[in-house]
Amino acid sequence: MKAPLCFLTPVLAGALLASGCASALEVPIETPLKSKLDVSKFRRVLVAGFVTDLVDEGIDLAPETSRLLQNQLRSASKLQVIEPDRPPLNQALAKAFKLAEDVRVTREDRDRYRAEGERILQDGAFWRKLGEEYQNPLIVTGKLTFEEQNRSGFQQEAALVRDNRGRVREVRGNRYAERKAFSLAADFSFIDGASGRLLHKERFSEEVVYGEEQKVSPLSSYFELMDRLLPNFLGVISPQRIRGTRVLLP
Amino acid sequence: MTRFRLLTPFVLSLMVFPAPASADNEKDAKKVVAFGIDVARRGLWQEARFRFEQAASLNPDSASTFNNLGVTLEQQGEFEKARAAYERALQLEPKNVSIQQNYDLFREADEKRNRKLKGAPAKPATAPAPSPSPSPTGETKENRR
Repeated sequence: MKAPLCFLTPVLAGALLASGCASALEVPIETPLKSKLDVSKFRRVLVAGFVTDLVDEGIDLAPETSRLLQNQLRSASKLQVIEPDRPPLNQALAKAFKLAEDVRVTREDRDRYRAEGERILQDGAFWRKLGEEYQNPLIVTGKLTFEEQNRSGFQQEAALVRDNRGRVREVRGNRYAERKAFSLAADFSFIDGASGRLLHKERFSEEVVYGEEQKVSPLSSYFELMDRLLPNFLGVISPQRIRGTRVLLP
Repeated sequence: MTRFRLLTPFVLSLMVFPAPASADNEKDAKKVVAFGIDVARRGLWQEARFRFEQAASLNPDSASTFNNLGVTLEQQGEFEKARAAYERALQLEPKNVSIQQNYDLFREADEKRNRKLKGAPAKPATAPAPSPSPSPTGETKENRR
């Protein structure tokens, strides 16, 4: 009995090996995704600040965003990130729009501030001058809106209850729930510092809703929203990769 | 890279004008494919691509070879060539579920890529033209989309 078995084992092993080799193989792949904007001509990038609301919603939106983008660009792009003391756009806005201290900000003030910001964003000469100052970088700027919204209201709920006969049934009802939402909208502009010309503009927006049991500060919510938004922002100027799996066949 | 440049147009022409494979060629092609799979598994995609192209020239009737070539081309970002390779594989074996699955996933990823690129600005007129790459249809990605 032993001899035929000894003879058979390599044959079986060979057959198993052959069947193993003959099976399909799933492999992970990463396909490259080109950046939307060709930034090969730039060596440096300047996050110039953002037009925001005159009254901040719990956080200092422009400097927080500038700082966050600088950090992200430092790790995700090959461009040298310029770090000005204060975002130049916000500096220019503060200069153009001086508010007296201890004065209540009116709706008109906010509108005028926003309008002045819009004007600067479209001012090619301003960006060209700024570009000269920082050795013709790629300039990242734009508008930001961060808002808290009350989303409290009645919510439909279903509960399982046991009746006096011991049967379980579903009971539907409405319950008042306190909820709040934070939304972040960012209109990013990418400007050629050498010419002051707008190269690309794109709007991204995100929203998050919290239940009554979640006590989330505006700053935490802002970072959560920026975290979602950043890959799209980075995809504009740096290549990304899409992951997946494919099957190789023998 | 030079060997790819030499081999790619030849393999692509096989998609259009396939030559019948001899039994020896088929056997050799299988060995080359097995080696290609082995190196692909280790992440050596350029080498895998070379092997699958070699196998395709040895046996232009092998659906699995063109499927594997499609996967390597996709991995390398050559999407139009990958599409052509998958379509050739499906033409040879229309009922192969694995090839169909790869092709469906490829198309899904391609749509995603196109959606992401939709917001991209048009290239300025002064920008240098992209270097033309051979493709089965003679089109480049840029002028097709």
